[in-house]
Amino acid sequence: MATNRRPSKQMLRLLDALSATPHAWRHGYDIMKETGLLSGTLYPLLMRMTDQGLVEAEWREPAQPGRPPRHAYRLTAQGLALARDTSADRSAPGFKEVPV
Amino acid sequence: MTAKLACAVMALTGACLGDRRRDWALAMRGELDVAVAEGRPLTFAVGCLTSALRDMPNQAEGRFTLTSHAVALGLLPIVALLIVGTGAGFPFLPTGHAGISGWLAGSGEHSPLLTPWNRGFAPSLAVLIWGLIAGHLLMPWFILERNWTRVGTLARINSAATVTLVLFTTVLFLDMAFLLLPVAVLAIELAASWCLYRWQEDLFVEAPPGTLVA
Repeated sequence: MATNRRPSKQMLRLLDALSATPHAWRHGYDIMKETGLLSGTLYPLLMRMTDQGLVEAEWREPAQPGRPPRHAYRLTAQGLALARDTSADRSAPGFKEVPV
Repeated sequence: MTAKLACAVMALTGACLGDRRRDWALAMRGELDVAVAEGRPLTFAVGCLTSALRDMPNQAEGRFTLTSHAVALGLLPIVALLIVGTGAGFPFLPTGHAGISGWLAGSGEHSPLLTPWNRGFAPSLAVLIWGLIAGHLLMPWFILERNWTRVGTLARINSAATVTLVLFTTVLFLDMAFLLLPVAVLAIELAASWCLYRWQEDLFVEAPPGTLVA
């Protein structure tokens, strides 16, 4: 269940990155590179958003044999709706980003 | 070397995340290979460990793990107090006022509490109390392992040793005040381990430790 709290700056970056190609599955390290978030910020966010039903995760077979399987992530319909809402809010006139 | 250290940090991360977050621990471990290839394994691993530590208080299992460690670490100074108390001249040890160093040097004097007729019991009671200390030192280890069978066995052994100590102290007319410390240590240990046992029973009612939870 999603919370009613205003998404943090980091969460907005994650929502933006994942909503750019909403149907694509992304690996954790690729998201880190794309958003500039460190693992200590990204994973708590992903865990929380998965618990809230905003992000879904799936195991993917490794590209190279002998490597462990990797988790891939994408936004759920609920997460996508939140990404669109926050994007619309930020593009609205008079929006001022609050540093978190 | 850095990659090995990162692997060790990731193993610690997995332990911190516990069974209910096992998927996330595996997910982080899966990305470590990419981080190694990118040349930043340690930064990535430390970040994952930070995530795990931040997540622990939010999860029941994490709270249990944190409390178990706090209890285990809390028991150690109490046992240390018992060791110091014994070293400072606990009456069953023939150290007298010279302490352990004097006892080891052979210059220890007998405690005036020991009379010629009860002095013969001193070595066996000294062995008993050192065994009791060893038992108390093992307890935090078993608690952290969540090995409740061993915790139960050790609790019974420590209780039996303390009761024996009380009985012999009474029979030999020694000062009962010296038993306050071992009895208090046992009471604290039993109460803490019993509370943790009941808590883990409620916590792992559906999934015992070691079971993967989807």
